[in-house]
Amino acid sequence: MGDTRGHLRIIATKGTGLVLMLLGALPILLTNASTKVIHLPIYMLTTGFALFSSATAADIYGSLFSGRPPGRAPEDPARSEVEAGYRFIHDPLMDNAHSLVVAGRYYHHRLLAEVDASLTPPSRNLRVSLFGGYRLLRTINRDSWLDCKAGLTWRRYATEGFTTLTTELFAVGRLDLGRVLPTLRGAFSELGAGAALRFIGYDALGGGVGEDSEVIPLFRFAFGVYLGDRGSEVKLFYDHRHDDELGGLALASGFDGALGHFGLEGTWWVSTHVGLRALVAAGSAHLARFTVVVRE
Amino acid sequence: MRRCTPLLSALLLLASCLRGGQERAELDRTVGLASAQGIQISVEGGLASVRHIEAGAAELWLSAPSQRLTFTAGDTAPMTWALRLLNAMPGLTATCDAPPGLTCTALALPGERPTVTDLTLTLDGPGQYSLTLTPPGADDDTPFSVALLSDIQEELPRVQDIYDRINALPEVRYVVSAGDLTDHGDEATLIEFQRAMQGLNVPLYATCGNHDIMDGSFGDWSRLFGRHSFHFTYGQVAFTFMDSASATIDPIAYGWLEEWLEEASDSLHVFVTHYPIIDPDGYRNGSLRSRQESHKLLAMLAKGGVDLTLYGHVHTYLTFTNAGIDAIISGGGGGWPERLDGIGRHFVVLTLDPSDSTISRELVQVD
Repeated sequence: MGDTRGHLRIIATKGTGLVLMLLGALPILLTNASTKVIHLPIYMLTTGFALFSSATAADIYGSLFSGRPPGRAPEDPARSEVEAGYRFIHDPLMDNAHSLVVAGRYYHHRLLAEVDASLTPPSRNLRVSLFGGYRLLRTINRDSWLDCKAGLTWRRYATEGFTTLTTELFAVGRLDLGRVLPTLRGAFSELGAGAALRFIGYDALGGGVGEDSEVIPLFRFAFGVYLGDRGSEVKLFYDHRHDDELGGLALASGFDGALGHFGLEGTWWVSTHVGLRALVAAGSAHLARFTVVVRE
Repeated sequence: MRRCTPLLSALLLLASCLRGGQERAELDRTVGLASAQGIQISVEGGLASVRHIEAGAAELWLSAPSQRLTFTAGDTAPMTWALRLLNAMPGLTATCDAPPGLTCTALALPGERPTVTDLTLTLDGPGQYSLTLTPPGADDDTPFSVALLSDIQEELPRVQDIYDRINALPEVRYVVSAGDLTDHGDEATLIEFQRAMQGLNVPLYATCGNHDIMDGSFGDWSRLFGRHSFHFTYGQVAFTFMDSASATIDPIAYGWLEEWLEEASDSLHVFVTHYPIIDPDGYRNGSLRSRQESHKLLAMLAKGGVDLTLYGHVHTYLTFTNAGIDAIISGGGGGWPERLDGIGRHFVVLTLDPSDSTISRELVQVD
């Protein structure tokens, strides 16, 4: 990178990631995932993975774009955003192929409201999410922030005969990496963690959502790059959750299901207010989502 | 994976195959079919692997207590056959049905071990014959017991003490296993497992676990153990074994499951698979790779009236319910035990009473 101090910071971040992965993995390995110890180590392991991966991505980014960032954070981030479009899922087991999707988010000062829904007309499968949140931290130009969100997701699988209700608490933040190292201007990193409590009901048993329940860890991280001057961006992410349309990563090996899913999401603002967003991801299914986004 | 076309997720640079169990399901379709020397053997439901066939002799590994086999003899077929039946319930009896105008005889004799039956089949000429193998208690509706033993893996050299404990329980008719019999699933260790089974006085019926497919040579399991997913009824109780070794169940196997659930809708029904459909602790995540699939499968099992689900994979002992169905996780065969749970190597004795549709369980700790 030609930046010794910056390079050392990246090495230190990678090292911290490796140490966290080791500290997280050890109790899991030593107890073979005892439920008495696994909860904190899971977050340590995934956070270590996130730090190491993000630092590696930053290292590559710095080498490729040092001093010539392909874009920059928007000067005045949108307060509201609405998107609508189409989602395709290739899943050999679930009837989720063709869906309509709509989503919206609105910030009022530090308060956040989000809605996200999908409808799969052939199977009548339906998902609706409602979240509220609060921006705990933000920088003056709002290129870095930390949000805490809580919400509900209701999913109805008419064809498969079950319904789920997921309640979750999630903290997620974005750090503009230019604040860490000047050579990383134009890149950002995201990290989120939380937990969800899910309730499941089966049509065969009456159709409520109280038959089974499950507590699951939530963890997500991303490394992204701004493109152009309007705040367009592309980011590569990992999401540890196994309960959504994507589930855990299929590797066709004896280790299937341990990891969550990976994806790439990009937004290209064709004008100040209108953009196109695309998402592709792979887990137990393959997903592609294309939406038109309008912001204010 | 030989048949799994890698789907290169261009943006993720990840090769990903969504149907991890497809090749095994397709292999299952071929189990129980063999031909040689002018004769064709077909095992109903693929419930036995024809491991060897030559002029007048064949060796079969049974993966169910009762069997129905069809022999189609051509003009050049030998008329006398010596069949060696491995993994058979002791006391197996055989009956033979011949085409009109012909006769046949079947004589079953105890073999060198309790789980070996030597059978002499005499045919009368070209035609299609059916051979029925029936163990004691096959059609009774009286209570009987089976043992649940899974996840033996690297402790295979020590498994004889578990077998000794099972052998000491005369009420146990056979062992059911949710897989991970071996640590790597290569041919040598699968053969070693079957050699160790010579110390077990009852048959063992198993689906495969994720460790049993580590080697990637699925043909070895098919040849040595038979089908990965299968279904049988014994003593008015239905048993369904489903291959979830890739943390998912292949759509082909889901098609079989629908039929088997329908077939067993009025019976006491036990469902056996390696991965817990839902791990009671979501942080451990020892379950199918997609929760949506988990709930789809549980919805099917609840609708189909399954009475008990049996799992391995997690190396401890847990009882709970999923979709209102009693569930047991028992991964106590010896493989890398979970710590801090107070459970060592173990197996579970299940007593099934089809007359009043009840199932009781008893944990047997070996260490």
